[in-house]
Amino acid sequence: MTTVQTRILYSLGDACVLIGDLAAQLQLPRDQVGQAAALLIGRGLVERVERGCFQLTDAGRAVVARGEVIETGVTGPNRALRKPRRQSIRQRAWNAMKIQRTFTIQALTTAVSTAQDGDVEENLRRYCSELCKAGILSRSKRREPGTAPGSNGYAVFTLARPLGPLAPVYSRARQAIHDFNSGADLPCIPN
Amino acid sequence: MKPVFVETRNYNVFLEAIDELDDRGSDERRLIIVDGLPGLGKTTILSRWAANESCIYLRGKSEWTSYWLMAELLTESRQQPDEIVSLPHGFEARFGACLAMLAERRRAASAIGAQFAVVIDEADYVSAKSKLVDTVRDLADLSQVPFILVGMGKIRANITRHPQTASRIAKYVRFEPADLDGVKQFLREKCEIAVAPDLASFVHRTTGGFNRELLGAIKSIERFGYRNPPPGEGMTLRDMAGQHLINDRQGQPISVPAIAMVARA
Repeated sequence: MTTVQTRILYSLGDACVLIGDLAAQLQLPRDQVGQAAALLIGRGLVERVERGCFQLTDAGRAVVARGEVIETGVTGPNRALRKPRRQSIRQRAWNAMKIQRTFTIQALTTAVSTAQDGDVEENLRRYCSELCKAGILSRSKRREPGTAPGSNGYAVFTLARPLGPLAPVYSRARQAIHDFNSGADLPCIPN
Repeated sequence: MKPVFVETRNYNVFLEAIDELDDRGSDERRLIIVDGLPGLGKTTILSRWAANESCIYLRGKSEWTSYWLMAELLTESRQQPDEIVSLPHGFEARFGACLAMLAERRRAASAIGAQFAVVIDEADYVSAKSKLVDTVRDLADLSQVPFILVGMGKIRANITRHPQTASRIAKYVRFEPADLDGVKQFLREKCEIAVAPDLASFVHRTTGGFNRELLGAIKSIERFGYRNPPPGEGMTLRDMAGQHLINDRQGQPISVPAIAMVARA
């Protein structure tokens, strides 16, 4: 049985085809055509020239030339970076960093933690370490003294690059901090 | 010191004011004044609230002008502050850009059922200048976004000099020093060393219930308590007799009375 994606792929050419024309040609509902086209875009076989208008990419043309059939299902691991959730701990911490500018992990934890959160301190310690490697935070030589005997005190961080409102996200696969505000990757350089 | 936020009476009073504002719907009174003496936790509470609600937080400057305030508002929200993204020039264009930005942020927040407001700390600088007060009132009126002005004692008196603005104020929130129960709650939740009631009462008397001094007292209690763990239910006045507790606001040290005086008391 031919999938909708395959039918769309073989109906497209080099020129941009409107979603309405595709739906009429294939006798399918527009939303079904739109969903299948989005999946083909995700596979890199189709590109959207403008809203509601699609054409084949070089990879798509090669698939058509080979006469391949597009199977539905999972195509591989989802490597897309996940945008920070608005109320996530790291998003709240990022907001607090932009307000406080200079802070310790303790101060940051106090500012953002709620009763529902888990180990906020450890989470923020890792986050700040990653942001330091990307040059978004700088660690001061001065440490805030602790009260316990033998305490090394608390590291003091300063926000060096106040990026936009969305919290930057660490990607282990890319070894970089991704800034969703600008779409740029900031490489993490080990200390 | 435990890295926890203590939900003090002042914090709850502030939250009530915010909730009341939400209940007003399209009421044009969208200004909240938060005032109180320095060291009562105004900045701590408001910055935490702003961070958790993804609101805009600005700190007033002594030389602020309306034009500068709007530049900071836009800078806080722009996507690529690293790059040289020029702000709109001219008052009219910048004001329009601020309204558009506030409307977009308000829409985005309401889409997920969140609150959105602009917090201006050190707003005494704003309240002292008529043009700044008028700009804030215009922005709040036209964008329907609440503005929370945080300052010290003068802000209330300054704002009442502008009747049109004073009539837009939905709520005055006065931060007060913590009472004895508040101090005990603070010590219980923040201090890593248990504190006995007699020392808590002494801390209340010497700090006057001010958060800033309370934090200093907790550091002193912890520093001493870690080296001399209290034997019973917590650190008592007798345990800490003669130890430095805090410096008062004139910089004079305040110590726990020596053991003979504690015994007499």
